Amino acid sequence: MLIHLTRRKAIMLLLAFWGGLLVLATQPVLGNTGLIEPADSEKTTSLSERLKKRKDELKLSLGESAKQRLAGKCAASQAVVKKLKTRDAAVRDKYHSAYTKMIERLEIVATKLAQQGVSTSGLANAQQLLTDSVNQYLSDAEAYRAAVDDLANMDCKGDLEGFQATLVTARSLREKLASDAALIKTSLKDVTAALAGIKNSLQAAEAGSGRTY
Amino acid sequence: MDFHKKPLKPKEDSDFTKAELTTELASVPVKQQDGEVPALANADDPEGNPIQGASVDDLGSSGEAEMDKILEVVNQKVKSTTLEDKPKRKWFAFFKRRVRPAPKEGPQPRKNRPVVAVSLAVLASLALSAAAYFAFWQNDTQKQADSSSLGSQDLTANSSVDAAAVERLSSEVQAEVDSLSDSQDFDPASLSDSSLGL
Repeated sequence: MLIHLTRRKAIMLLLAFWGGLLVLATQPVLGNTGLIEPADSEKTTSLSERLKKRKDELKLSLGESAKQRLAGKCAASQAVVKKLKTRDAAVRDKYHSAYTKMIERLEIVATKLAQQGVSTSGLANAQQLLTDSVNQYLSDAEAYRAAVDDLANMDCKGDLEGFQATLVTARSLREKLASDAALIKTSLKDVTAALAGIKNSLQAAEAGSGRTY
Repeated sequence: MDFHKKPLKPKEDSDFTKAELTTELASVPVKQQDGEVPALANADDPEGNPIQGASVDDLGSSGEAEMDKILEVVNQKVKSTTLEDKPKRKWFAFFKRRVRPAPKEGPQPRKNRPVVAVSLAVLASLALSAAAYFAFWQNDTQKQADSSSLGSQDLTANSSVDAAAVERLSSEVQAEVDSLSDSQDFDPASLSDSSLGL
């Protein structure tokens, strides 16, 4: 079949092949850490869709007085939210970096220990719980980021119920982030306990063989 | 073509004379190499017609035999040349060098040069492969940098992990996570009605 291709088609195919190879080569290499990368909901859904979803989930009903209060003050509150958004971005980067490095270091050491023949089943279980906790945090952090972004940018006077629903969602997610971070600390304690057990076994092995690594 | 000389059928017509034959031969126009066709010479003019007065009897029997011999040799040569030129098998023609026709003189219509297109494709391929290799190399370098930035000399590729390394890792990771003040970073008051002025 290829024999019948014209020269121009053959050149196009060649270029497409190398282009594909280039795209594949530039893809980020994901490590075997088990961490997720939550999708950006602002790219997959529209603002109106997200507002509707939040309103449907919370089923808020605002009274007339509450509506008047919100209508008069929501625009000013959005300026405060924008400042908070900037602070939150720095916090998010700090946590993301710390958690990712922690999981990567543990993964590297666990792999090396397994290669050395050290039993790492306890460490692996603790690691899995820690990874799940971090993944939960990453997912909530992305949802919180989207909620605060919508809160800052939406037409609050045009959709007061949507604004209130988004504000309630953001508050809930912010509290969730605090609890996620606390859970990660708890899970890390299990990991350090497993590492302590491994350290003891390594010390015993080193003392028995009289060899240091 | 058959170059064998066929025996002339004897003409029964007795009116066909030697004089007529002589005149016919002399009247045949011969194209010269220069391209000029000489004007027909007057058959009766002895200066314009070089074979004026020649007789078929002049050839004699030996001349006729010689002519037959020449024709025979020419015929054999033509046959042998034709046999040599023709390939014996069809597949052999694939390997046979094609003879290009001689270029015509004067301006010729421009043709698309395939060499240029192929050269461009090869250059583009080389550039793309170089870019792909560079991207891969950069990615790998970045990954190595990330690994080295983990902050422990125990995590190099070929080193083994000992008890001290495990101890260091445990304390470093714990310290890093403890340094995160989540109660402050995720303070719920930041989104309260009072903070937002609602």
